Amino acid sequence: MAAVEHYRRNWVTVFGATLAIMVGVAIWLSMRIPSLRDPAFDFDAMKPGEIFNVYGLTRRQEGSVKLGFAEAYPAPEIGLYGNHIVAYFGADAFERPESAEYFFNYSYANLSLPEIHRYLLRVEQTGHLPKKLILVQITPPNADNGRFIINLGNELPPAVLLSTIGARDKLSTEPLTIAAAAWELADNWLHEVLNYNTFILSIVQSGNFADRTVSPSTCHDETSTWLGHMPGKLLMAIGASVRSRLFCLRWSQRGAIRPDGSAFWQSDETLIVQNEDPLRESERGLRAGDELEIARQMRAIRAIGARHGIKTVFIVPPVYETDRHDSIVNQIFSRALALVPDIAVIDHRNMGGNPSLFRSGIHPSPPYYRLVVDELRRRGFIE
Amino acid sequence: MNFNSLEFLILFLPITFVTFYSVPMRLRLWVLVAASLVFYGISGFEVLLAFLIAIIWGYSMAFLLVKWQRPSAIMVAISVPALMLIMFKYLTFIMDSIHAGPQVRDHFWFFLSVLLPAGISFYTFEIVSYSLDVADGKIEPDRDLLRFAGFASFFPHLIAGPIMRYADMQPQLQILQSQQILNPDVVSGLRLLSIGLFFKIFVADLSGMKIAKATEVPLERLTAIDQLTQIQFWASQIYYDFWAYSVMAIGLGRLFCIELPVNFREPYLARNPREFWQRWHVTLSYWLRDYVYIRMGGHDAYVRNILIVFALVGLWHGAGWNFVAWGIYHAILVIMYHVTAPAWDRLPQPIAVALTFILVSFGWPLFFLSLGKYGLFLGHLATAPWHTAVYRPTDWLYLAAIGFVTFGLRERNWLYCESGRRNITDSPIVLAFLMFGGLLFLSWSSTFIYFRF
Repeated sequence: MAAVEHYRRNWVTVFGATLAIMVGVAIWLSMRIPSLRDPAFDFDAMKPGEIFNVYGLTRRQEGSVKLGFAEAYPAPEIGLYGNHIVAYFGADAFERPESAEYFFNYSYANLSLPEIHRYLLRVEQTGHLPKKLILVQITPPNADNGRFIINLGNELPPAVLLSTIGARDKLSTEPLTIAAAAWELADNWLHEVLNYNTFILSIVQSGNFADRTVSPSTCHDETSTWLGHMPGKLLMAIGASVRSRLFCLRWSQRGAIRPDGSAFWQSDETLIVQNEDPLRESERGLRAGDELEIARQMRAIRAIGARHGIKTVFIVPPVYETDRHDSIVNQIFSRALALVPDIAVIDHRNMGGNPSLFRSGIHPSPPYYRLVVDELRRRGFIE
Repeated sequence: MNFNSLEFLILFLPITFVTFYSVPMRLRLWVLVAASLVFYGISGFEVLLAFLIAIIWGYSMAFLLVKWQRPSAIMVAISVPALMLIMFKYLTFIMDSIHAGPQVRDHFWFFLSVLLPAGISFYTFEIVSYSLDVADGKIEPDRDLLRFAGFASFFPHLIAGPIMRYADMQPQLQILQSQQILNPDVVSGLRLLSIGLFFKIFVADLSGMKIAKATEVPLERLTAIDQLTQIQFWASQIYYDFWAYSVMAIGLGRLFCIELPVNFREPYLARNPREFWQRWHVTLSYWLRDYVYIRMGGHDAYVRNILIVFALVGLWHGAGWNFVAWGIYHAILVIMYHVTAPAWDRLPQPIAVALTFILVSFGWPLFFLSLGKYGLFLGHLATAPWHTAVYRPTDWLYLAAIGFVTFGLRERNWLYCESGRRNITDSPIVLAFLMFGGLLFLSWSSTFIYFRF
């Protein structure tokens, strides 16, 4: 039992009430922000050379543009599912035109294997799995010290979690299973609501898909004028005419999405510094025993394709770094791969010494993806 | 579990607080120990098991130490916690240092692959200090295992200190077990929790992001001003990261009627390197003074003992030669001061403070860079041009604001309010905004640096 004086009780009441009001405002604002999943953006309707500008979108919104497309429109022959690490994997690696006809890159924020599993379950529910081949990227262990392989990034929309809980977890009456699913859902929701990006952008964000679809080659870049020096978030709030000019500004186009789902790249962005993650023991994302969970997730993902006669290939891209193949996270991951010899994996962890294959320490460049496609051909996954 | 995580702030803390004050008096410590074990065990079963073994070992060995008063008994008592510390924290470092091959490493795969138990250095030092204090006859072994477990596991100080002594903690735990009505300082607790969270995110973590601006650029592109700015951001990140944790820990302790000591006494205001260590991580400094330095003979072999103690300080902070070098660097500073004290002490205070701060700052990059990279960093600094390429005036403005809080304000006035005068940080509305700002920017936040230790 606690005895709390009158002054203290008042103080705590005011503190709690203020905090509750602020959290309430955050919840209200988060409900105003559009999901961008429905109505879905049609990447097929984009012309070659156009980009979908993602400036001023939350990471979840940015991924949801692609998720909405995955849910609403049929997939091409090959679909790539993963996270930002494979953002630059485009149709050009297959020597195909820049469109969603043959290949689409569905990479999303910082998804890990369990979340890619949920994403694919959701796509399966809508009947829009790729026709021939599912490519699944796994975060290379040394990129983030083992994180985002099985640790959740919490960036999928809660609706996707809800719609796939039954399919994934075979909801039992076990209290622990229910509690874990409920916490995952609550945690996911809280990460979106109590997020500065959601909070700020929900105030300034407006506009539609059409504003954001621009063609850099015909855009009038006003970076050097007064417009280019104004804070972008302020420009977003001003009005439609300024907004369309904002999305033409060169600096606002970083990370824009091309018609094949890959990320738009500007040559002056390249700053190749070796991956600096110090791989600290205390911050490892993988520990002994996690190899079983990685293997389990890989099997579950492959099973989705197998149910529809679609092959699944996992890709582990390289990280630009000095030779750190013997890191503990790499060894745990190798043990996981040894548990699934029957699963097709393109494991390129040993290709980290060549800077020409990278756009940053952890983001491979188009020349790397041509090597991936060569290997897919050599191993008979594509013609 | 981290203090700066949603699950801690929204789930764990409110549930533990409400349960603690709802249960009968005799169950309070049970609640606290159970919650602390959940807090710790969330990161893995193996680390929880290691922790429990250390607690039970420390508890049982105390009785042996009373019966069998010989040095060998002390060795036995501290052997298991020390061995666990070596196996979990230093094995990779040892393997790397002796260039152990894959076959040797395979034999130790379990220890190499299991996660480093968070805070193992802290709880090992606490359990060892308990054993040594019992052996020295300073305290009686406690028969109450629950109370001993409460001392070692109390979650606010479990992972990153302060390093508590049993004599300080036991009376407070006894009150929880015996006093029907508690009078928690909830206002002060929430106040320190909010301020700590705010500084963790908006000073320590934001400084970390500013550091990344420079580390994402090849070293050869940095200018001398960029490098010096980066050093200042390192100084800010390390200090406010640990400071924020300590302030939050004190606040959390007050919520549960436990007073934890202040671990940082404005260390950047120290006038010399020796004073710096009387203000920085105070409980670690005193631990090493009482249990290592004095036992080795103290001032009798000053230089040798200081070198050994500071090499240990370095190793305690991290398993790597860069940490050992950082420790030795501080040993040299302390010895240098020892030799030049008459001249140093005559310096005007602002100059002495600035000199100490600059010398300490140049050591911080060793926390993040390997020895080779640190050498390259200093080499480049000596030859780099004096303009700026990475940092902008807004960055320096931000550093100036941090500098104002660090050097211009006194914690006794604005944080601990010893004068009794109210200020803006007493307002529940302001503090609720700080807490909300912290919650909103949690996704920015990284693990507390001292969790690594």
